[in-house]
Amino acid sequence: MIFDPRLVFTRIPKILKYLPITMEIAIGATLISLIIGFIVALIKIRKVPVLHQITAFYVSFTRGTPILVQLYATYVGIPIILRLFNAHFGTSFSVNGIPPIVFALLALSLNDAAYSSEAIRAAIQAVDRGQIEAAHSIGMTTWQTLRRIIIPESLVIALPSLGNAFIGMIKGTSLVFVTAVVEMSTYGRQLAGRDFRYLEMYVTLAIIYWVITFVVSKLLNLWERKLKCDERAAGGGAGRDTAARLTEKV
Amino acid sequence: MIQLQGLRKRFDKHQVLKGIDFTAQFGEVLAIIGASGSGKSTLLRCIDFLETPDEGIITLAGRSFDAAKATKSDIAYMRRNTAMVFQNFNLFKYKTALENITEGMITVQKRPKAEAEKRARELLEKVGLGDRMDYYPSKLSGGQQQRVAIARSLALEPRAMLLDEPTSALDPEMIAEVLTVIKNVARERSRAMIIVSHEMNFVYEIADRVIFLDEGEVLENGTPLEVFGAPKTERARQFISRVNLSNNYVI
Repeated sequence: MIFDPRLVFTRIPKILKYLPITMEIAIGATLISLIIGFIVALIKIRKVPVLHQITAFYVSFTRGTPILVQLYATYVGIPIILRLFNAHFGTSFSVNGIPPIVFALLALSLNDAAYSSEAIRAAIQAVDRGQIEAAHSIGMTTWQTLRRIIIPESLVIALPSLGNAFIGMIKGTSLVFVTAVVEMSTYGRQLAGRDFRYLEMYVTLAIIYWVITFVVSKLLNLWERKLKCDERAAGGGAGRDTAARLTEKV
Repeated sequence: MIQLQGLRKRFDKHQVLKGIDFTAQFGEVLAIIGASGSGKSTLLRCIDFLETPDEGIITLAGRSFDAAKATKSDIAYMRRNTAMVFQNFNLFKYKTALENITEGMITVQKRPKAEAEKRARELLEKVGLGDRMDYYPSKLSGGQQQRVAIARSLALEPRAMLLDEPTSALDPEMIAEVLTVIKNVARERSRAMIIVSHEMNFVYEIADRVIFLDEGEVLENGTPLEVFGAPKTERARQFISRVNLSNNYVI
């Protein structure tokens, strides 16, 4: 048989055993990227000297190079950097001590943060000036204003584009075979290697990814609608479009 | 008391405040009047450090500092001991009326949540919004939002309350309800109130002292009777002749 449709479905359970790894990478990398993205956004807004130029270079470089190249560079580069570090400082950190998932998380989150930093920056700047003045006038410090007013309000504005980024990230995890992490796609390829039923396997993987992203995007829609209800109750929501527009991948 | 000496503020080349001096005692209601662009709002915002003054000495309740060299602690001191009521209300839009009021008490003053909520309820009752505690700002009329904003500023027990054209953004039929609340607050006499307003009848009625500001300078400083009845400067005379004080106040 050239194409065995049954095989497409019988292999689903086996592949799904690796779903937790896939989601672990996607969620972990997204969370790390939010933190990095937030810091980069603040540096951009405050125009912190030196750091501002460094982050501008980082964003431009990351957005201008393929993710696959970045993954390879991380996987190959970090052991070399570590070796140089050891030689220079007389330490003895072992590359083998680093679990492969760290390379994957690092590369994916750094890549994602370059995009999400723009969405976060736009969202923070979309927060009404009057809200910030009101917070200051009741005596809040800069940090309190950020934590209590600016972050919650900008999260509502940035959610649609950050949600898209998360869906992109789920699909992006299929590239981490480069770093020797075995997740769904890598395992699928290994399975197919045994009987050369590659097409069936790729169809299986396509179905699984599609179902996951479908469910996730439905959940995100629900969450967004809930926030929109709150927002209708709360009014406003300007800047949302700007934030979404700015994160469209180049 | 709250005192300003030689307060100056410039935006680029435009000198907005050209050395402002005034004193307001706690319990006193001070009104600032003047044409648009005369620097009234900027003056108020400088006291709360929403704008940073360039020069001048600011004194509040015994603490005095040079505005040009204001430290973080000076700014925090001013912000914690004054409260601003904005023209556009500026309520926190993702917080209910109650949360708007408790926010400062909990985050800034570190008061226990239960105590803050109890106080917030009392204040909302006081401004006549006891039945609107769980409403978001967008579900409240402009007048109601401004009354919540007044309650929010009262919650912090400020030594000085700063009101920046509190009725200018309101529909005419809502002005009265806000003015009534402000009058009641003023009657308590427990804090200095500095009001920038275009409601001349209201100013005449509640202010102990009126300051007329023109192009960043204090031209008149006296009782309402003095400033409205017998302005010393030609500029003030022109301004006052143009605003219509209703008949019962004609002297």
